[in-house]
Amino acid sequence: MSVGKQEALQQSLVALRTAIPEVRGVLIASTDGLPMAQNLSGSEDPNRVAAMAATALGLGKRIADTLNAGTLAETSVSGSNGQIFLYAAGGKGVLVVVAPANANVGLIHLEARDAARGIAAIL
Amino acid sequence: MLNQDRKSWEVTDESVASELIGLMGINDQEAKSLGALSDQAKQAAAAMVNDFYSRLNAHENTAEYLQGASSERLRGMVTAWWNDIFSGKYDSSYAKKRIEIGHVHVRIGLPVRYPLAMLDIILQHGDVVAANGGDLAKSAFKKIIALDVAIFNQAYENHQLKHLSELIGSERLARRLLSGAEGL
Repeated sequence: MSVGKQEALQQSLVALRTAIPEVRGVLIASTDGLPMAQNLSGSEDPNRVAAMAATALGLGKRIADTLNAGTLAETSVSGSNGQIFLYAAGGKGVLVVVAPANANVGLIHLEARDAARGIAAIL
Repeated sequence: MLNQDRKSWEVTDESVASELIGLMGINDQEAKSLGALSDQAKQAAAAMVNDFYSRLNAHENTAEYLQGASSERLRGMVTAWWNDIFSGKYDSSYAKKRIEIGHVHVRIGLPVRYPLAMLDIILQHGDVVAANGGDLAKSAFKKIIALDVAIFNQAYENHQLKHLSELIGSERLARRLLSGAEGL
């Protein structure tokens, strides 16, 4: 990946975190599970998060296909301590947004869906 | 981290035979030395198959896979496998038959340790036949058994890799998951 693309991806993540301060972390992975850019708050391993995100998105696509739900746009995981949103960024990437359990989901979707479209254009 | 494709990943299905034959250096003379023992191998097949199924039936965990199956058909398949070892022809067609056997084993949920362990019977009987062809045949026989072990294992790996790749949409990601990379 070129330096220009890398910087553009990193900037999109900074912009996303600025727009939603309560978000704990964001990451962009390739669909084959490699991290391309990340801004995570904790001690999470970006390689591990990227591989898991790509796996979840890939499986989600398969479920959507099987159940005739069309092209997968996003999927999420909700736990007692947090929520993880995964957005398809075109056919090459996945945007991961990690948020606290009580986060404003509407705002997250509004900003992250727009960011995912921008990331898809970069990729 | 498996973040880079390998040339070996491009070798799939029956093309693994030509790659491995090149790797192991199985030459025409060695192949002919085994082919020359074809008739002797056919004569030894019945005894080998008897030992093969005696052992499988004597072990509860393997006997389970034989219940309800046609004994005649199974014996025929093992006989064909045995005869192929002494056919003298080790090409893509040979590999394809082994891969198909491997895929059948995967589909019925047979752990790979059983077909590999059963090669012990093939080795016992095969060594006797190969000895009639001298050192060249004995050496060639060992190579062909090693080829079978490799193809069987590859068939299992390919089946699992293909299934996981289809499920998650990426072969490279599937390889990383199967490798346990990043503790996944």
